[in-house]
Amino acid sequence: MNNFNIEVNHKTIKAQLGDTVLQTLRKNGINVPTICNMKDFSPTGACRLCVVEVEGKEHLIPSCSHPVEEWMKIQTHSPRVLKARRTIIELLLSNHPDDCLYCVRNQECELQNYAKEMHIIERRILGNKSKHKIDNSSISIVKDPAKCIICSRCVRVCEEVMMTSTFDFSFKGNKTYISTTCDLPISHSNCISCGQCVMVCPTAALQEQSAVYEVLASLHDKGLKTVVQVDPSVPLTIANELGIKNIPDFEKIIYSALRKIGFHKVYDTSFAHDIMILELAEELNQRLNNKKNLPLITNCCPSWVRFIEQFYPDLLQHLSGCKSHQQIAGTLIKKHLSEIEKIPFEKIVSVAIMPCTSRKYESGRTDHYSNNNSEVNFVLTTRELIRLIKMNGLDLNTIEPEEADHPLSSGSSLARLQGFTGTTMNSILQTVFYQKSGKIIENKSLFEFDNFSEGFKTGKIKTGNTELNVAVINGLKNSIQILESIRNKRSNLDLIEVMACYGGCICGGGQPFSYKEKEIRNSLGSLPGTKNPDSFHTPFQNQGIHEITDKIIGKPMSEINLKLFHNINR
Amino acid sequence: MDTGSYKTFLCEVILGGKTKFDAREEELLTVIRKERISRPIIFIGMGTCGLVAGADHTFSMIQKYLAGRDIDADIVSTGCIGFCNSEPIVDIQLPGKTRIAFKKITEDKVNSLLDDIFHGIISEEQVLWQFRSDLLKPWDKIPFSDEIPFFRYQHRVVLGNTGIIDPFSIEEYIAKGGFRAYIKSITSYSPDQVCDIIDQSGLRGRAGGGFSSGKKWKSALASKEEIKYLICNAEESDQGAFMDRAIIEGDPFRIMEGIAIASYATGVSKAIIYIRSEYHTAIERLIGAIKNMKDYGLSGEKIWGTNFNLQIEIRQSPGTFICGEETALINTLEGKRGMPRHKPPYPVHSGLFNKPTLVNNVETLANVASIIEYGPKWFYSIGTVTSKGTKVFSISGNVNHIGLVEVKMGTTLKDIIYTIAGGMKEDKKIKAVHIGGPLGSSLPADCLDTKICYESLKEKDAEMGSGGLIVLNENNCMIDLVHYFMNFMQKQSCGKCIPCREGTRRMSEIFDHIIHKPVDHVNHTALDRFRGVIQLEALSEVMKDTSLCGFGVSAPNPFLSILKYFRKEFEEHLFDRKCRAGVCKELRLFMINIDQCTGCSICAKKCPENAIIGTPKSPYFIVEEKCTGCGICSEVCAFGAVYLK
Repeated sequence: MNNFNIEVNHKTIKAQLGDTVLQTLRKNGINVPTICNMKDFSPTGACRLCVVEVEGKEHLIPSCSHPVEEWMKIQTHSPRVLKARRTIIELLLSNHPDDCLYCVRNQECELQNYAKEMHIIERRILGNKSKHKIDNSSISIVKDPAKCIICSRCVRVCEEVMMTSTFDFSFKGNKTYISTTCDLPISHSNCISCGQCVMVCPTAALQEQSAVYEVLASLHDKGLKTVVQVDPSVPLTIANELGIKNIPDFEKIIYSALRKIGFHKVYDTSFAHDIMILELAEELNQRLNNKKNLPLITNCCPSWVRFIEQFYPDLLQHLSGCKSHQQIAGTLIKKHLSEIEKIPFEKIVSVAIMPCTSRKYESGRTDHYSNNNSEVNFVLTTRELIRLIKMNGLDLNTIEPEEADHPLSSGSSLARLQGFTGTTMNSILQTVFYQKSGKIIENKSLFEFDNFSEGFKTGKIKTGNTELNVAVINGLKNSIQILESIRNKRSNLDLIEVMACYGGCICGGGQPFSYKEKEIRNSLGSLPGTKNPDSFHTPFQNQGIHEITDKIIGKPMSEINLKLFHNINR
Repeated sequence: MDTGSYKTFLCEVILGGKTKFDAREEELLTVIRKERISRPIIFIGMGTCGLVAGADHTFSMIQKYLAGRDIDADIVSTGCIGFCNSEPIVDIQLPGKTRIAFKKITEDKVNSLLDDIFHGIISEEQVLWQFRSDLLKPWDKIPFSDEIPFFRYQHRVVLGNTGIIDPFSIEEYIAKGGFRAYIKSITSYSPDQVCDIIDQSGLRGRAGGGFSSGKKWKSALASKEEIKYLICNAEESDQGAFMDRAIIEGDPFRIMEGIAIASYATGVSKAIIYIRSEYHTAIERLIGAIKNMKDYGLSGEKIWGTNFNLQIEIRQSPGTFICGEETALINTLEGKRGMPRHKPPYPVHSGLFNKPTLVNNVETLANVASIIEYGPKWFYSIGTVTSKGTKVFSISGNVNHIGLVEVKMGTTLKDIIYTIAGGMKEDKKIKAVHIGGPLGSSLPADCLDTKICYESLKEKDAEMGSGGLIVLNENNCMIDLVHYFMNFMQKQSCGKCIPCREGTRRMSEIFDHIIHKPVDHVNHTALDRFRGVIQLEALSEVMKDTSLCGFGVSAPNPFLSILKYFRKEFEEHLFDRKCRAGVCKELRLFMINIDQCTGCSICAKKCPENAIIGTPKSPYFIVEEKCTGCGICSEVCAFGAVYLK
């Protein structure tokens, strides 16, 4: 008796035992609004928007948490239900700032959408609004509690996926609000800046710390040379966001657009990713030879670095000493421009466009500074880039593609995919394997993830006469088990790749709100090398790196590279 | 004979199941029951109500008196007998004589009282009653407790021992028949049978919901999980409700016995008493009771030779109203924020640490021992068709006897107020009875014939709640009462679900607008007031329909009840801006009679709001917009020129 029939809106539909009412309705294409419900999370039943009328029940029941039962006769949009939903939205609006036109989430806001759907055109419920201060302390995330509707999505994401628990409820009754631990400013809290809370926030209560105006100001300043690096995940997302499909070199259109916006030079971050891979591969070789500090853990994700610094400081020596690709690119760009093109160091403004809010935090870390100056001056998220493009009135359909500037002009096809979890691991293994055997691993899908939330994968790989045990983790939740085993010296792993967010940077906290992971994955065909084996190439096949080696940079782990690309502090 | 040998005697003879006693045993029992005494005993009501009235000072004064005069007497502190406005109550029992109760024995009255009583004189003013006893010689001309109306119309089951026995003495409780039901349950009944007995008795949850306890126990028993929990919910935060506190303070062993039987019946080996941290006295007595039970082998492992293990633990609540809700309570026990969870799953299927958890109210559990002892038929015979047994109420407000009463289900409100509680204070007219605390409803004077029963109260749109009764007279304003409750609720809502968090807040604000004058608030014009009021009913409806837990569902109750029963008074506030009880000060409008005003300017000088203007020696004038209705001008005017419009 696992399947039975229920009646919804006078029609009989099939239901499965163990599902909630909401799941059943959604499977049958019946849409019920909800704010607090999140996929893959246990329901809390807080927002009460998903209420439905069930015959025989005194009150309306929340469909998100109520299990479906055999006798149920459900009305999803009866007048009583509609009235309740409308009142709930009106209640929320009565304590919400009336400043949609000045809001970063204008037309992208779930509350606004529901208000429109419920046809709320009058302020019927009036009252005092809670007064809150905006928390502007963090370089990556801004919290505006006045706009918060206390759906607790950020609380759950931070606690259940990111294992950080920065946010929780504070106070009670009408003074309830979401605060950080001990009500500290975000900059002083344990926030790892991953931005997943921004991604789940239905309103603008949590948003990125925007740098659009600062970038515009430096673009307009004639005395400064503003250059930009673009993460390969960004064009991918924008193409998807704007509905552009199968344009072979969409990133080149973005490069062109950025030049039109006024950037002096445009670089490709995937080039730096290749450098990072070569460094990591060499570092792994050294550690394997010395049998010291194994496993080697990648540190290309700044949220992950912050997480391990906060919660597992005793394991810090396992982290790679290498900087992340953003910082490597930043170093390289400033070095190249100041040494080769003779632009004074302080006149260079280096901007990075990244899919992640955490990169903002990384750019502000003083241990990444050189010459008392940040290697990357400003970081824009994908969302901010879209704003910048729209602000400049650019039509991406009519722009001619252009190449990125020398020397960071292009990366290997693997580096293009760096936003996806497992790619970094794949690249390192390819490199190590090639160094030992002179061959490329043919099974290149070794660490590709079919399911984004799979989160955790281990494997073995034979290179020459050594066998490497490797693990790929996405979602900090999945890292705890491995970290504990390393701490207790029960781990036999040699190399671990960790990305804080589920799915990797492609699902980072700076991506557009409406994007869908699956569609991006489907549009991967547009990237070189993903379908066509001829154009597939690996970091050590990147000719650009060989060209600048011994001119600007040295060989991996050479003294000059250690100075340039490795964090001295660690 | 010392307490150690009492223990063997009590365990072997009384709890051993013996019903016929020989002369020696009979004598021993009367000694333990404090019927046969060799020296005087002075009992002091040391419940929280007594302590507030100064019982601890009385206690030390009595000690001093006895020490100073070298009198050999015992002092026993008891709980509250329920006659709270006569506290501190001191009972005195002289050898061979019945126990006699005196009211309001504060520190200063101790000497004269004891002087008199030890000389056989009784001051008529102070005496309350004497307790009936077959063995002892009664005092002359003193009413027996069962003769005075306060006790005569009560039916004391749960409160049978409170205020009478020593709450620290397990011996006395056992000697009075305690723990026999418990031993009988674990030795001769199966858990199934105990659940059946409770089910047959018709006992329903006393916390307000009125769900059948037997059915709840059965579903807890049916669960196959190895670890189950039982929680005794003593987080009592309703205003004007103090039943649980008094029961625990007066008779902690009865709760323990109830918990133990319930644990056995549902297969629980770990029981938790969840109590308000403010209830210091109650907690102290519970700790004592738990220790005593362990000493007597009534808790621990392999109790009484059976396979039943029980561990009882006290947990103090962090102290918010919402923690009385069972799922919020469970959340706090897990170390989380006290916020309700959605139901289903119900705690009885998945509660504390996702294990089956039986949550029962103090009063429900306090009934259990008697049901087992006297059988389900006895309990079933008390009360109405649907509601069985008795109910404890705490009566407060404008009645003569504020306190704790236990009545049969089916007793009318009128009987409780006029017969038991001694009628209205100063013979004022009754206006309303507020039943069920901040989430309850107010019933008007013409509903006093309503019977106490889950169903008949529901017919009147009221709920039993946990049992707080607040009696209001003509000097109380219903709108002010609702405003108070609304304000309380907007502060106590946990903030989880939107209808409750925002709804209580808006309702509270709308009531703010009704009872306050538009001084310098934002959004506070007559138009806004009416715009708010037309939303009130719709808002309450949605809150009732959609809120997550009972708090939000019941939060509009006080408002809905006054809308039903006191609509006229509500409209007066709204349209005429008048408060007939004179409670809503800001609605009072003072004026100056120009014929009587001499222009002395005293009112203008004293007005805290500078609302009175004028020039000396000519009549003054009150600016209506500025006046807050404090009434100082009318008090200071020597010429009676200021009058209330």
